[in-house]
Amino acid sequence: MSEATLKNLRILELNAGIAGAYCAKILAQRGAEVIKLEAPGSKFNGSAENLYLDTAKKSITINLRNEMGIGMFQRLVSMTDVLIEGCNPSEKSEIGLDANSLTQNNPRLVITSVTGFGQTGPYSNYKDTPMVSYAMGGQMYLCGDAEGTPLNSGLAVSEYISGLYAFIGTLLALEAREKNGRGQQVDISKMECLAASHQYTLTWPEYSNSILSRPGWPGDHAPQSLFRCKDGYVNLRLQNADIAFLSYLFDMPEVASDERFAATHERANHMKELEKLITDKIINIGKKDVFRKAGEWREICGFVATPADLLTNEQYNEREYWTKINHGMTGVMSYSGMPAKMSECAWLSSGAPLPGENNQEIYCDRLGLTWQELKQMQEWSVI
Amino acid sequence: MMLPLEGIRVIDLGRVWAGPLAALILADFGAEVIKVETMSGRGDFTNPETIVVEDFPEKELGSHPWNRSGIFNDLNRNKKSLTLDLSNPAGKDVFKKLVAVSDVVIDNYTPRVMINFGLDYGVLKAVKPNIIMLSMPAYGMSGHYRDIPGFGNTIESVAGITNLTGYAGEAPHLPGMITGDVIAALHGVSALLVALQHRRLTETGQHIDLSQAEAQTSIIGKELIEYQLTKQEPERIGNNHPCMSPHGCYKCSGEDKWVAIAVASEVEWEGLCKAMGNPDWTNEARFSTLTQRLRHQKDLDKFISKWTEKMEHIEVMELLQFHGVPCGALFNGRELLDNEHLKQRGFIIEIPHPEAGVHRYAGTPVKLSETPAQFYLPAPLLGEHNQIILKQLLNFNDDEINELIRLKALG
Repeated sequence: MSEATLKNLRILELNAGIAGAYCAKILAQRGAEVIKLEAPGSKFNGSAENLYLDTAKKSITINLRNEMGIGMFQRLVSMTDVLIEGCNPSEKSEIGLDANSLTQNNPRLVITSVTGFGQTGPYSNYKDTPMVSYAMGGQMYLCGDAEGTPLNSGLAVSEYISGLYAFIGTLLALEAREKNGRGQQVDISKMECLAASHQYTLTWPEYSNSILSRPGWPGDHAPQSLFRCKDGYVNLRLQNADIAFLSYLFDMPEVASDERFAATHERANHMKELEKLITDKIINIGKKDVFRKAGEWREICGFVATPADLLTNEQYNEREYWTKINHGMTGVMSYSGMPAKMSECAWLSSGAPLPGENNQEIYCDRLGLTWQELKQMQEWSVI
Repeated sequence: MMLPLEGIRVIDLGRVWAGPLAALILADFGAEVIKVETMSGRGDFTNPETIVVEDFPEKELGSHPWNRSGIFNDLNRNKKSLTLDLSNPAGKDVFKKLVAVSDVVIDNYTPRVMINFGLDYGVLKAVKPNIIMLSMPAYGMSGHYRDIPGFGNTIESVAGITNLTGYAGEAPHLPGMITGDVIAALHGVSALLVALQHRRLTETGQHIDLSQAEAQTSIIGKELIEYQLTKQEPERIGNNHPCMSPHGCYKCSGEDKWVAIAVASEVEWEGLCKAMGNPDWTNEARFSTLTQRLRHQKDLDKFISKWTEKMEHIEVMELLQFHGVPCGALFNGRELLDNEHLKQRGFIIEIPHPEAGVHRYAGTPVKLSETPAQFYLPAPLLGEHNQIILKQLLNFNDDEINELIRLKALG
């Protein structure tokens, strides 16, 4: 196992939101030096979001509404490979963040912008939140009960998908730079990231003039839904409706020979009865027992894991998925690790920095400021 | 302009979604992607038990349904197709010859499949020492769950995703569109791009073992830390938000038309009131602060719905955004294809396909200013590139190709 691969990359992260911060987190964990720029006076808020998204990063404080701060920023940009930012065009002009002037001093710079709707087009200055991009990317319309109000995702799914696309875009831009020596702009729109994350939704209107609507996933000829068990829920996807499996699971030999359920076309006429049978019987079985037995039969099934289940899951533990980080503000906790286990590449994990934790290292050791100048900048609220 | 991945050759053994999507991203940015397929006709989307007719032009399967599936054609543009039987010794030999001239192999089978073919990483590495292989089974290449099969949303359940979504006080709710496959594919491509850099620095390839479940759990790292900090199981809160109000989905005029509105600050609340024409109810004490609004959310939602239901969803969105309020229409598939913003950004692309016709698709969300993705090739017909790959890339002659056909190694 060699060193973390991206160790020669220098990255600045500015107002990047969850998506940009997640992109920067993966870059940092693959070895890049990521410096998060924060406003002077920022306090470490101890939020789970910061703890998770800022692992393996450095932090400096900088005032971009101050001329001296802008000067420092420009010096940092001139020695950086990638700037990750989350400002829409109007926010950019407010703080004078202009791609052309940044690349003038550093033509090798890659600027990765991750915003709700991208840097161009009629929505480019629209405001977004995780729910708003979930809605406009076409996913919320599909989530929820058929007759009910559409339902928001319980997690910021648009942010994480966009963060991953931003990471990919950044690495592609760096690949291109290997070939032509120049940087470029990576323009990531969360709406587009979600709109590209569909099956059926966009092809149906084109191919057969149909609209996919709630509850979303089409074309199932067998029960596919969540069922309540003794201690939670299982997600049964009996696509081939293996009735023999249900007969084994419920210890009911008569189910295997029940003519109503045997053939696919018959089963479609008795779906309600089949669902009732499953509902009535599965309530007596533990969710992980159902999952384990389904696995033995190669049936497709999942159990609905809670955080407590996840943190003690034998598969995750066996694969050493969790990484323990001892953060000064919280003590030791388990963090989600890197999902891709690369046989030849190490990855890094260290706790989120406090705001300004690396001021001295970056301003003095790298930019050459004296201790007195650093103090002066603090007094003038530049940092 | 040279695309970033020009010169990289990828073998795509991916089935259904996660694997093909990973290879698609590489193909869009210049990699030569060769799909190695079974000869039996793309059972992923054309299995008679599970076929979805809406996914076919005019709902007609035609005589070659495997060439007409919308999902397949969407996920496989810019790729080539080679049909090989990997359980046949002659088919295996061709596959190894292909690996010897390739850079990347992608599969999303359960781990035993490649082992049973005798084509696991160890074998491929012996053929091509610096090959990079991405394996993306449901639960990874090791551990107790290794051989358990999975499907997007069952993996999401085990990964802790399903537990978080649902109407308040009710059972969890499956998402309408599965995103687990997408998350896995994106983590897979991320690792592949790191592996390509690593190979440039060290000349060595490697094996990437990607558990789709672990990929999904990585997007709820925040929630898991919250749980450890508070020792509280997360509550499902429907369309509410712990610190934004109003925050919800509101009915508009027309059939099944909705908007999502999310108000995070007092300034945005004032913007919303102004956009609605400052009706009297907005001055009531129970809506005067965020704390009050969170407490009286249900009443607040009723008032807002009364206002939105007379307007079109696009109109509400445009008006509220004009007043600085985060708001979005809930677009369906057709509305996305016709959306002016997406069109102007070049996100919607059009590709003619010889057996499925001319259709629009979602393009790539990775917008690069200098080396943008190129879309010119439709998804390949099954086995369309057999001859060209065998002859031009692997130097087979006609007699050798006919022998492969006779041995039923080639489709």
